[in-house]
Amino acid sequence: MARVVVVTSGKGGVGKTTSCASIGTALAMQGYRTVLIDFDVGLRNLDLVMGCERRVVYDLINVTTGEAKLSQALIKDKRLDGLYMLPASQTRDKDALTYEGVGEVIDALKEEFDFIICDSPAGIERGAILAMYYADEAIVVSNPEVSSVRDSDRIIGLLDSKTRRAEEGETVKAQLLITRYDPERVEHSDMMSMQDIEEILAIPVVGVIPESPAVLRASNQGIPVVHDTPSDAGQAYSDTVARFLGEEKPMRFVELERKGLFSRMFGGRR
Amino acid sequence: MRSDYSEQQSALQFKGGNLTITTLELLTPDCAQIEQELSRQTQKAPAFFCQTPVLLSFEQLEEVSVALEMVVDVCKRNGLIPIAVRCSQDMIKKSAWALGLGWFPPLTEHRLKEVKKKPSCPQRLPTRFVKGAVRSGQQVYASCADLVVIGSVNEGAEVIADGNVQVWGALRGRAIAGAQGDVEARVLCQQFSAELVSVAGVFQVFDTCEFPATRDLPVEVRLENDSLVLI
Ligand SMILES: Nc1ncnc2c1ncn2[C@@H]1O[C@H](COP(=O)(O)OP(=O)(O)OP(=O)(O)O)[C@@H](O)[C@H]1O
Ligand SMILES: [Mg+2]
Repeated sequence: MARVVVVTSGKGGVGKTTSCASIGTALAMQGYRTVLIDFDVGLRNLDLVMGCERRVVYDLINVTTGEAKLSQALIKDKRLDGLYMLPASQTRDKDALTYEGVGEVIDALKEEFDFIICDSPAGIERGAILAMYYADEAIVVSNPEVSSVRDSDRIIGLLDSKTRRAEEGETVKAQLLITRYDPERVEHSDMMSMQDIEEILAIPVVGVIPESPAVLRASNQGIPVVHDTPSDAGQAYSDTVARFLGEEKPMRFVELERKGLFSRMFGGRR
Repeated sequence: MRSDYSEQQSALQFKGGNLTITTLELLTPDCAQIEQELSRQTQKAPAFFCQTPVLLSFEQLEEVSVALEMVVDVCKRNGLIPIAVRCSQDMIKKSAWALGLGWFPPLTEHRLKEVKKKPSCPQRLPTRFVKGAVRSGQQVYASCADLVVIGSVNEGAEVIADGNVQVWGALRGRAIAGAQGDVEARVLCQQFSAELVSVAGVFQVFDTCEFPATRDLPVEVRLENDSLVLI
């Protein structure tokens, strides 16, 4: 059965698109047929992060309005078989997307794919609700700061009330992905700790991605950071996907690295 | 077929976010008095009174009429730029519109009064149980009943009961017990860092700095001689 997963946050700029790209890529690396849908109409940038912006011809809206066939709009990833993306429209009006149209597209994709990952726009308006409406599961992205956590809280509430599953009396399984985590700033109480965030949001943590220069480097090159296997963020994303697929993995990159003899003797954490 | 390939940028972008803004709570409609007070303050802290945006709040002046345009002039003369008003009075809201100022609804007081106006409960209904966190933006109301939350009430969430409110977790948002005036009602929680608690319309707001030292311990809030006590 295909799983429809929305990556959402409430607050903007927390790392949804970055996370979508790497999670989708890691799933495809494991052999799952995966499609990423960009719901951020007017501000599309998933194609940039995936490095396929020059191959965008048709988009999600063209498909929902029947101007293009799904197969024409899907862009195949350069690097991985079984990874596709459906771009958002850069130019069309947001209201051109309808619940019905999106529902049909998702139903058609379910026939072909194991995972359908929806990159939500920021906010709690129509676009964000549309992105989550058909989801079976959610990855709620949060930065370790009060305003982001509060917006995530709001979004989890909407997952419990505004989705099709909620309307049918079922739940959307939500998991927390903390991004841009900086253990040093947590230590100095400039940022909230993983434990504090988990306690407030009361959903399981699927991953913690450290603040890392590798992320910007990767998105400038249009290569999802999970391809950068030596990087901390890349490893954190592959751990995240392993957990997402049910594997048990200890959290890495959440503790301040102590450069003592002790940690060096035992290899320490990378 | 999409022919338009141009990189058309959108003209603008709305951004959410919280700004801290100074509220000027007016305690008198007398402009001369306001002017006097403001110019005294200006001399004390001239740097502050320099194109500083302010919100004019008229919540303490519900019974009197106010000449908004004069208040605005006084502010501007003293280096404050009113950007919006907060009031329940329709007249002030209309003047604000005419002056190009925004409007915010009044804070909690208003709602608490409304709740109280409803007819009282003829009889208590069975307790309402809520399992899991009550999240930002959500409101739960137990009509004519107690409310038990098995989880936390997060910041920006609101739980209301005509009877008692019990939170088996952290109370970080708002809790209103005795919403129809039951002075015996209580708010009970495992951890206390509420934004607001109220019993029978008597309420208290809390800034993050003023939580009791016992914030990690269970807290009971009830009314004693018309004021709230936290135990
Ligand atoms: N772990 C990280 N370390 C450093 N920078 C990061 C990290 N994650 C994301 N960023 C940066 O944060 C910015 C926003 O990321 P991204 O576009 O993924 O967020 P978003 O939630 O999709 O934003 P929007 O709400 O606008 O769609 C980008 O510049 C990205 O490079
Ligand atoms: Mg994005």
